[in-house]
Amino acid sequence: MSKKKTAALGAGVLSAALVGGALLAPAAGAQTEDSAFGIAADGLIDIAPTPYVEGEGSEEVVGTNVAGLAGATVLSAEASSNYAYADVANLSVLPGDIGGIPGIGEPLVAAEGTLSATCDNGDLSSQITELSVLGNTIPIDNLAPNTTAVPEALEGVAQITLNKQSENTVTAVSIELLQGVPGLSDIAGQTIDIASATCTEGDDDGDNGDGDNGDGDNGDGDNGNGDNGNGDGDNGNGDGDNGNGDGDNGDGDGDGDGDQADDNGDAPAPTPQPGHLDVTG
Amino acid sequence: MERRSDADRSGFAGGNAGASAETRAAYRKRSRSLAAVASAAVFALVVTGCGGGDTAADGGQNPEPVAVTEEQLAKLPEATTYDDLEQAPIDPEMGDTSASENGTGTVLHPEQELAVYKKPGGEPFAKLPVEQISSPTWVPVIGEKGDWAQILLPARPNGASGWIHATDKTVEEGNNDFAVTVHRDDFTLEITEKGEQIGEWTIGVGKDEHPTPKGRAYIIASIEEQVNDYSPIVLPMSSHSESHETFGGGPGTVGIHTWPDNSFVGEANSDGCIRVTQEALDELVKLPLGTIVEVV
Repeated sequence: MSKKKTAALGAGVLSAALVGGALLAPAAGAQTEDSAFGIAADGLIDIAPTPYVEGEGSEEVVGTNVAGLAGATVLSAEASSNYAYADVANLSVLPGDIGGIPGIGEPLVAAEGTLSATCDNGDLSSQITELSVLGNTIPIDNLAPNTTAVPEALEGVAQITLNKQSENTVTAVSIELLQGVPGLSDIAGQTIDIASATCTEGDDDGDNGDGDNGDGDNGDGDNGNGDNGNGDGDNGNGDGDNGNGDGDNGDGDGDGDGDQADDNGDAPAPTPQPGHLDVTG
Repeated sequence: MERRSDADRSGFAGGNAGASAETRAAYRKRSRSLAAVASAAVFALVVTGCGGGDTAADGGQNPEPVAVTEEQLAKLPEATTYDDLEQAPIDPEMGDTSASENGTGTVLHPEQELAVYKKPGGEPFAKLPVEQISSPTWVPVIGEKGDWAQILLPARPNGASGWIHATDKTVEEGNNDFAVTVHRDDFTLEITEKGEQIGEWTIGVGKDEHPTPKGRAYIIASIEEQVNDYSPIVLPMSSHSESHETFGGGPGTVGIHTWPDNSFVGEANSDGCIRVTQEALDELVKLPLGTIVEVV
């Protein structure tokens, strides 16, 4: 079986592996505002963003495996107003046997545990526990935006960007194959994005800027049971352009994020959040 | 929630979880307003130079924070369970057990990513994100100085702490009357509310070679576990195993969780985690994030 056929099979398996609804997702790269996805690929092998959430909601895919291209035990995506989050657990990309790429036998990229991307009211961040490229562990001490991680053996072959940030999108791991490999020449230009989140910045909440905006409070203060939607965002620029002091708390739906004290000033009981962490058992 | 306004700022000292009951009672009356202090987003602070000079008016008891640009903030390591913050000052009273007598006290939630400093007016060494493993970040306050709050951090080393400039623009503040005490020798875990026991259970702790770390820590998140199946919910703590640098792909975080069978009850057979019964977990999950866990 040629590599070309392997790739084609990979795409075929992918179609079978994706959950319903994924086919309705936009093509990779067409992510819209307040949206997130676990994995997407563009090039010789196309993967529609999966799972993909736009606007409001959450999706999860368990046990995704795209033969020859990528695997992960859990992929999840979540989006709400001015917020998006995606995570992928136990990722393995190009899990070996890709002809021509040095280091055969080791995945191009592998991550134990969960890696994630968060866009919170325009604030972008990625979380990567442990990542290896061709079996070499990449130190993740200070994950600055747009950190490149390419072993010498892959120079000119692939580009791997961690915590990739562009405007209002953050992608935990972005891989681009720069050139074809023997038996798979058309794979040049292939991109694979893992855990990506895009969000908008909310309107001013009446609580930032230069402090001269009326009561300086979040309006009526009755949102103690949940998140005020956009409250943790872009204050700090001091432009004070909100002037009306109306304390707009976003949609005011109080989504129970547990980041507000209650009306008595007591810290809230938490809502367990879907996620993963290997603790010491 | 009531907070001090800038005009009403009045520095106050004294402890929180580590302070005397009397001090703490007085503190609580004022604690609601801790966050309300002076303003300025951390990464847009306007101060002179980089020394974070004290303000003359308060005699150096309430220094302004060192200016941190957005770019500088981005380069600081995050204070999360995945990080090792070697520069972090260690909790000066790791063995303090006052939380079980009085409650955790004040807990803070950063409303934006905040710089964490070595001391009031000192150099920043980390940043505190708004979330920890998808849960909102809540950290306990263990000390105060003027507008500054000393907080426990979720990173290595155990007892890592730091100072944040707590203002009404940067933090949400809550009161927490609860605490958890783990008695390793007795294999018991108790929950107290304002010092009154509201539950006690027999538990399992770390085996001799991988002991559950002593000292005060806190609950950093509430995870509806998506990968491991031994417990539907895991409550990771701020402490880490001293013997496992990593564990199962994770950073060696000590957690509280159930176990598929009862083989742990009254035993020291875990790799550092605190294994509890479902009944105990059902109560523990109700505790606010930031609740102090004293392991003795």
